[in-house]
Amino acid sequence: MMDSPLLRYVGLVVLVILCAVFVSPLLWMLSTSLKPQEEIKTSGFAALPDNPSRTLQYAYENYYAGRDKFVDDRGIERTGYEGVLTSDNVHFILYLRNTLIVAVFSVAGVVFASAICAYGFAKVAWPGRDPVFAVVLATMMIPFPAVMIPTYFIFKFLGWIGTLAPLWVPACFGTAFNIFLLRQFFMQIPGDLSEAARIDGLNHWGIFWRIVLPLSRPALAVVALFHTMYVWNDYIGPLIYLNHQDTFTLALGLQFYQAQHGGTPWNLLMAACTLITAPLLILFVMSQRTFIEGITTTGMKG
Amino acid sequence: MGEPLKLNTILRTAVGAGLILPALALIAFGPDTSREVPPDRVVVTYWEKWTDFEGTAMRRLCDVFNDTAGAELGIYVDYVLTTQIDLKSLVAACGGDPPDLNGLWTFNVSSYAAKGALQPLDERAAEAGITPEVILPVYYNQGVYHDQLYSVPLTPWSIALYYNKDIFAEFADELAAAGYSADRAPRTMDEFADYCRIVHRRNDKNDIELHGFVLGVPENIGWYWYAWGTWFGATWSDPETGLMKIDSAEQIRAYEWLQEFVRMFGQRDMIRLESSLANFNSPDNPFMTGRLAMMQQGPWFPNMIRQYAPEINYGAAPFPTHDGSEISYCGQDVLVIPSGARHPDEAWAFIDWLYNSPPINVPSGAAEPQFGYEYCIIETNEGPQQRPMPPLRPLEWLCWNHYKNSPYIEPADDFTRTHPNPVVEVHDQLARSPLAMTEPPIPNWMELRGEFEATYRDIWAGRAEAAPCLRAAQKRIDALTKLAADRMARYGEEYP
Repeated sequence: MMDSPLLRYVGLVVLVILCAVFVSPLLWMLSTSLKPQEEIKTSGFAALPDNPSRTLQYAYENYYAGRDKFVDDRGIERTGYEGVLTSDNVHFILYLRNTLIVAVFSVAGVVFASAICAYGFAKVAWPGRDPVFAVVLATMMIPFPAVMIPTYFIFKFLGWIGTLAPLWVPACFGTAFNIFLLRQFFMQIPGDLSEAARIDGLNHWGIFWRIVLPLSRPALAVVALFHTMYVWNDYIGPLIYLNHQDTFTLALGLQFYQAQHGGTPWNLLMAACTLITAPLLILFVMSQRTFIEGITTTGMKG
Repeated sequence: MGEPLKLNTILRTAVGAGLILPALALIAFGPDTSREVPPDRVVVTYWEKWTDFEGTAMRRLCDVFNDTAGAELGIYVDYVLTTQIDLKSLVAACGGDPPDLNGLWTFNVSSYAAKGALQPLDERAAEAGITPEVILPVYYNQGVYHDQLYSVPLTPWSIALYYNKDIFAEFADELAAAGYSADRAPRTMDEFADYCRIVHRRNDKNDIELHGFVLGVPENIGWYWYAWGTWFGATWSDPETGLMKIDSAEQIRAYEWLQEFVRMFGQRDMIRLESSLANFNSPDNPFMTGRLAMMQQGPWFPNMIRQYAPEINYGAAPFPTHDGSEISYCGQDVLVIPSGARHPDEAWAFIDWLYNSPPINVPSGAAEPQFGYEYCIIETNEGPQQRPMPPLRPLEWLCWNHYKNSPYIEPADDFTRTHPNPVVEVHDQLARSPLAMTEPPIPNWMELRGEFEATYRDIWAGRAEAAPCLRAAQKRIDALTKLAADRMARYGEEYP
């Protein structure tokens, strides 16, 4: 059926339309970040500022330098503002650093710990393995608000409230979803490989480290990418556990552009959003092939 | 010999290195996160929900306190910006780790006080002269729950009708023909309906292009949907029992009026119009883009207009009421001291300073003079003139910078004379109205309001008639009320 040129053409058009629908918010975000504040108010979508030749200047102001207040051609005083990367109120670079710290430690921890747990569930036979795995899976059903207060108590007891530790240390014990994901992948690795390795004198750690992990690169990449996205966008954890702007992450810091009673500087908010979104997009594009390979081989697809 | 490197591989490696190396460098050598707190000071942790310009103003005020009275008293107020403060505060309170000072919304007070999460402030307030003789009663009383004071006003507000004078002028002849003047806002609900009928334009496709007023849904522009009954003389609670009541004759009349109003312009057309309007906080706010001639808003609105649509020629007036009386709806942001706060005395010292310090100037710390800090603009015969910012009491300085009215019964002359909000006097006048209304001190008010909201949505969308809908909702509210009352009774507490 799909060999028909007409159907392929129609399919292509549908895909382009769907793609445009998904991309349009990103384009609006980028476009808004390239405009001065007074041009945000517009009915309809304008990709570039009224004076396109000033696009770079506005981008420089919004992303970096900010601008002083000025009186425009109509005699109206326009407010000044600070650029995203140099603002004294919203410390973007500091938030980025905090987010990176959480992301690096958290991703490293979750990948390693989840892989070890998954190996135990997939390749090691021990009494009660399946019921324990069911319990691990069941933890996915518990909503965060249900454990919010108890975990807060624990972190308070440990003296971690107000630090980044609650955001990355728990990941070092693995997460149920990632353990499940990796277990499914590990189970597809032929048992003969493990047997051969065992005959060659490798113990479980050797098999895990030298055989299973190298073969599981796509699945590990999926776990890393999923968890990076989770950490990057996590709002509720930082909101509850962090108590000072010095430790805030990007997702939390972004809220500072939104005034309670209006006056949100949308051009700056969108510039900040663009900066926050860009690394994830690049990461996804770069790891796209591995990512899709991982998805398809872990049984995650439809 | 290995395979030659492909361009794709080189590119991916370069991009990867371009991401990873700066990231690692930032982690290793990024900005220092250590804070400098002066030694030998008691640190008062103050959580506040304000961000952007509102937060900056409060932070500067804390800086002034820390440099002056705080230095003398050995107190340092550590201002922490946070969002979703009600959730964060509740978790921290349950976890036994609350801040010393908390900036909440007024509707949080009864709920938190009923849970024992707030410290009573009666004695401290009386000693500091923060009393109903000094503070406007409508604001003072909002902090009272079960005859105890749990919060003090920080920045108050009242809701007014904002109207576009140029749009009214455009329809001056039609308004005059109906016996109205384009120079004033409608005063009664009948007048209001007439104004909306006149100030109305459709395009060639019969779509509404310009309209008088839309109440709308909460996430869009209908922020004060629950106050609609107020304009018809309704209250949210039974005056005798204090229990929530939304099926009173006045409430039913109010929402029936709203349904008739919507149907007058076509239910479907109004919903289409409303869903095509941007929300309040958008630069495409329909009042600012000229699609709505009137809007219900608070004193912060002129600041938004100043930023996004300074060319708009607008005015403000009391919101129309059923009989033309000056009913108003008021609220505020408040300060509370949570139970379990480590330094309640020091936290109170800051509140005392906010209320009782002699007038001060607050420097912006910027290289260039800043509006609201170093200078203000006042209207003179020669037009707007820049003048040095006058010293103000700290609390009034904050309200000034938030564009809000003063909570004091006697605001300072300089506060009113230099205020950046050209219609602040309207808001002040509304706060002084003997018919000023506030949300009732019901501990589970937000839960009950959620039930009310579902009903309102049905009424607004025309899915059900107002009267039976409100009566059915009242039954559900009664059930929820009983549950809450039983729960509190188990702990020997009285509801509401």
